[in-house]
Parts: sequence; C-alpha cells; structure tokens
Amino acid sequence: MAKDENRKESSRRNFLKSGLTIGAGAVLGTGLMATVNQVKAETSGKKLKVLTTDGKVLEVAESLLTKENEHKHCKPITGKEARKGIPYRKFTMVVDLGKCKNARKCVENCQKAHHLRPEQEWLKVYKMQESEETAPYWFPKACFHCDNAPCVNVCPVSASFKRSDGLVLIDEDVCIGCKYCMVACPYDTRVFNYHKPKEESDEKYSPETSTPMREGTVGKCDFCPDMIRQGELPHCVSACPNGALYFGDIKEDAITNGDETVRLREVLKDKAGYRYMEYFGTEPNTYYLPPYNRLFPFKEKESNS
Amino acid sequence: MESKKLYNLWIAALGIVLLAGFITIIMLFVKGHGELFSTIDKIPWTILVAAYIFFILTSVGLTFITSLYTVFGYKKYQPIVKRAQFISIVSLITGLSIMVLELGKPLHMIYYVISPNPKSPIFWMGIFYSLYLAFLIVRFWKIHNGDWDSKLSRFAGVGAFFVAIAAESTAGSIFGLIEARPTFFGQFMPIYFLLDAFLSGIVTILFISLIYHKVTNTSTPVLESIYDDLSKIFAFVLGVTILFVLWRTISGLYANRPEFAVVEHMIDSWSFRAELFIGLLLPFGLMVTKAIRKNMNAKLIAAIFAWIGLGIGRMEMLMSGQILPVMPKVSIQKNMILYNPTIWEWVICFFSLALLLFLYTMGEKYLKLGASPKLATE
Ligand code: SF4
Ligand code: SF4
Ligand code: SF4
Repeated sequence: MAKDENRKESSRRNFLKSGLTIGAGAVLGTGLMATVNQVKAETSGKKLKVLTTDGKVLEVAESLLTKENEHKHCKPITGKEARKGIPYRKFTMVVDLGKCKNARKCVENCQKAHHLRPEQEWLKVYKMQESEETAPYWFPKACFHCDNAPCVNVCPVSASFKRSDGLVLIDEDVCIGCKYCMVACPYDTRVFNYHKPKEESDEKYSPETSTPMREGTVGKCDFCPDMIRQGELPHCVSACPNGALYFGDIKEDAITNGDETVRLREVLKDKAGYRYMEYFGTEPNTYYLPPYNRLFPFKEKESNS
Repeated sequence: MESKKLYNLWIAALGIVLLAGFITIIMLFVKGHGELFSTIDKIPWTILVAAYIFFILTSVGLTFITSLYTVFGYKKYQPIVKRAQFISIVSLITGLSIMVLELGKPLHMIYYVISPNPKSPIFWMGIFYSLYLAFLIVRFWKIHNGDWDSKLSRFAGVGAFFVAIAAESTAGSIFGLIEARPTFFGQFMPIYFLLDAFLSGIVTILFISLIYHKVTNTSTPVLESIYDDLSKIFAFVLGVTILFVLWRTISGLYANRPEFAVVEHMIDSWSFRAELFIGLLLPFGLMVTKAIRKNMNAKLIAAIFAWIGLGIGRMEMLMSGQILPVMPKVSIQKNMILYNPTIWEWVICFFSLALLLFLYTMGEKYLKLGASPKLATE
C-alpha cells in the first residue's frame, strides 16, 4: 500500500518536472494558445491534459513542452516596477484540505528557496480542530495576500504594500522593524528576521527577489513573484506531493497544482470553497476547499512516508 | 557633607547601571536583536515596548500636571511646573530612545518622510510625539529664562498640552484599532491611555518631588499644600482606573469569543493581582483615608506602590493581546505562550530608568527645577 503510494508520488513528481511548464504556463504565463498551435502537429508520445482559457480540455504531447530546471529562481524585476505588479493578473491560491497529510514538502521547499532559518516558516501547517467532537485535519497556511490587508494599512512607512496583481509584499529597504504588521495580521503570517543572514547575496535587492532576509526586518510569504513573473509555480505548490496546493489567476479563472488545471469558480462552487476567518473584512486571496473525502486518514505528525 | 556623600553614591549607582546599559546597547548593535532578546514571532511586542509606553505615559501625565497652571491657570501649582516639565522632557527622550533600541532598523526611519502612510497610527504617533517634544523644549527653555507668560511661552505650553492628548490617545489607538486582537480592540484604549498617563504623571511628580524634598530638606508649607491637593486628585484617578480595570476584566470574562480566554488566564496570574491589589487598591485605600493622605510619607509610599503597579500594568496590557495567539480555532486547547524577558532586556529597561533619573538629577543640579517666577526674580 505504502509502496504503491510511493510510486504514485514519485511518478507524479517526474511528471511535474515536465508538466510544470504547460500547467503553469496555461494559467500564469504567456497564455495557452501559442502552445496549443504547436501541439496540433504532434501525435505520438506521452500526452498531457491541459485546460485552455476558453474552457476546452486539450491533450498535449509531453515532448513538445520545454523542459524547465527544477525551481530555479528567475530574474526578478527591480526598483519601482516591483511595487506595481504584473499587469492584467490577479493571483490566488487554493488549498484542498482533503489532500493535505502534513508532508511538509511545501514548508521545506519554501524555506530553502527563501533562505529561511528552520524556525522561520512562511507557510505553516497547523493541526486544525474546531471542537472536541469534530475531526482534526491539516491546514496549510501561507499569506492570504488580503485585498484589504491590515498589515498594509498599519505600516507607518509603506514598507508593506499591495500590488495590482493582488500580491502583498514587503520592501526590506524600507521596513523599520516596528512589528506593527505582525500584531495587525489576524492570521499569524509574518515572521521577523531576528538574526543576521547566514549567506550574503550579490543579487540586487527588490521586494521580488528571494535574497536572504535582512536582519531587523519582517518577512512573509510573497507568492514567489520571481517565479510567477516567468510563468512558474510558487515553490510550495510545485513541491506538494499530494497536489493539495493550487495556484492561479482569478482573472483567467484557472488554477493548477502542476498536475491538473481547473476552473477556479467551478471548483469553489462544486467543492464549497471558503475563505478562512474572512469576517475581519480582509478579503483574502486564498481559498480553502473543505476537508471532505479525505485522501489520507489523519495521523499526528504525519510525514511524507 | 552627608548629602554630598549621598549624592556621589547615587551618581555612582546610576553610573553602573548606565554603563551596563551602554555595553548591552553596543552588543545589541554588533550581535543583533536575535542574540540578545527573546525572539517569539507570536509575541512581537515585548518588554521594551512596555517600557516605551511607560515613559511616554509618564511624560504626557506630567504635562497634564503642568497644565493645571499652564492651561487652567491655577497659579498655586506654579512651583512644581518647571520640575514636572523637565521630567516630562527627559521621560519622553528616554521613551523615544528605548523605542529606537526596539526597532529592527532604526535608520530606516527616514522613510517616515520619504514614504509616509497616513493610515497608520504609528505614523501619526511619530508626528505627534515629535511635535510634542518640540513644544516641550521651547516651553522649558522659555521658563528656564524666566519667561513664563510671553505669547510664545504660553503658546508652547498650551500647545504641548493639546498635542500630548493627541499623541497619547494615538498611542492608545495603536492597540485600539487592531481588530485582529479583540482584547486590544476598541475605543476604550485611547481613553485608557490618557487616564493611565494622568495617573503616571501624578505618581511620578509625587514620587520624585517628595524624595527630593526629603533628601534636600527643601519642603515648604506651600509645596506641602500642593502635594495635598495632588494626592486628592491621585485618589480620584486611582478610583477611576480601578473601575476601568474591573470593567475591562468583567467584560473579558463575560465575552464568549475564544480570544477572551486570555482574561481568565490573566486574573489567575500574579502580575494581574499585583497590579490590582498593590498598584491600585492599596494606594487608593491609603489616599482616600484623610488622616493617612495628609502624611507626606504615606503619600510617598502610595506613589511607590502605584508606580510599581503602573510598570506591571504596562506589561499586563501588552501581553493581554498577545499571549493567546491569533487564530484561536487552530487548537481546541487554549495554550498561552510564555514570555520571559532575557537578562539583556531587563538591563535595557533598568538602563532607561537610570537614564531618566540621571538626566533628572543633572537637571536638578544645574537647571533650578524648583524655580517659579517669584523665586526667579529673587
Ligand atoms: S494574511 Fe496577514 S500578512 Fe498576509 S496580507 Fe493578510 S493581513 Fe497581511
Ligand atoms: S515591521 Fe516593517 S513592514 Fe511591518 S509595519 Fe513595521 S515597517 Fe511596516
Ligand atoms: S507562495 Fe512562495 S513564499 Fe509563499 S509559501 Fe509558497 S513558496 Fe513560500
């Protein structure tokens, strides 16, 4: 049983490596139609299913897809541009709670990509239990990139800011380290950089870069803008072995976990998607699918075995 | 001779604490906050923020005391105005310096000017306190030169009073506007801050003046009558504060939202009890009993107790919104987080206290803090 699962997961990961481009590209990148035109001619080899922006499901040959390196950082935008956001986009994350087994690959990959210390988690996986009678379940939570973000409102120097593409980012060049945003965020999202970074980076800093965090400033999940600007998935999404995390574009109405690409509104409707603790009026950009039909029975301290 | 010895001893004691503080501050800049301070993301604001609030409350409270003369025109209180004004300044300076030590990147404060965010209460607090400091300095400089009643002098004095109200209630709103933490949230906080500021002001002026007069033997019947009046106000403000604390506790206990579980936890803690019984009820009891209130030593003792209570109370208030993490549904057990300041955090707190007392002592020595117009013309 476990062996079976292992095989499934490892084949899925391999699939991810090649499938990522079309999955992410369709949802995030330069649009699907260009890819689809090339696809017509190809008839042999392994096929991947993709969803076009007008709602059709197409089969695409794997061999036609550009192979990407695994989770390489892309060249981020610097300067004022980083405050503006990627045009015509509105990003969202969807977490399928029925699929999470606390494998923690998302946490590890995020920490590695952003040079975080072990205790610094931009994405936390909570054990959630509403009352004695209800069953516990795992609840992954990164930043919700709220549309009405209290953290942005309270920042005295505008170091925390909201972009047109929905992202809430922090400019470490500006942050005074007052921690007000940490007090104001209702979702326990922000992480202080108490220590000097272990490594130095020559890369020019911008709120989009994944350079090591500077001591005395605040950090948090940034939806990996350096990845999504290039049409790649955030590190946590591509790392999840169970496909619990989806990322996508609200305007395109499409999300993907790197494996399947689905319509955001349909999924939210069919699976009764909701936003966590939205009574604060924060307008989160992360949706949760309730933990129905769970893939895994709940086990304390589950890991990816 | 005796008093000279005492003075040297006093300066030496302050000097040791200040030295320890300076060494800690240097270490802080070299090693960083992470090595010296407690580092809990779930409790972002810790003892240095409590100390900061303590000092700014004291500063504003002392301005309220000076306003008895400056704004409301009660000439009787003139003899304590200069001293109160000076301690107000040094208390504000102490508070602001400790804030700088708390900030992760104090040099980035330049962005207050470059990219301000007018939606942020901390932004406004920064503006108001800078203005307040400017008013205080002008006013003190004027009265130090014997100018109590010129237009500019009065303008600075009255201005300081109004800006102080704005600044202090804005400081309260930093907590009062945070919906994420219901034990902070509400219109109550800005008012509570003003009330506590008033209490801090009375306590500090009684505490420092009475000790000063004791050591230097400078008490006069006029001054004693002023302190008698102040202790009546002291009793009244204590009474109102007790009501505030009680109602805050009762509403917290009554509330069903999981965030308020913290209140139950708090009333079981020694710090809450110390604040209520030693810091509020005991001095209140002393100050409402006429026979005791008349006694200068009793006033001093009441002030000392209330002063300790205020210190604990700042921490208590700050922790009430933090020790129970946000997102209470995450766990059905309501686990409180324990925060214990590190030794270095304590050193910085004592350093700031020593800084205040040292600056005050220097003021007393060189700036004739007991001066009032009559004395000045003598
Ligand atoms: S989740 Fe918290 S940190 Fe993220 S945008 Fe919302 S308020 Fe800000
Ligand atoms: S810690 Fe930094 S990002 Fe947060 S409110 Fe303060 S200045 Fe803004
Ligand atoms: S989106 Fe990026 S920054 Fe946010 S949790 Fe995932 S990997 Fe970390």
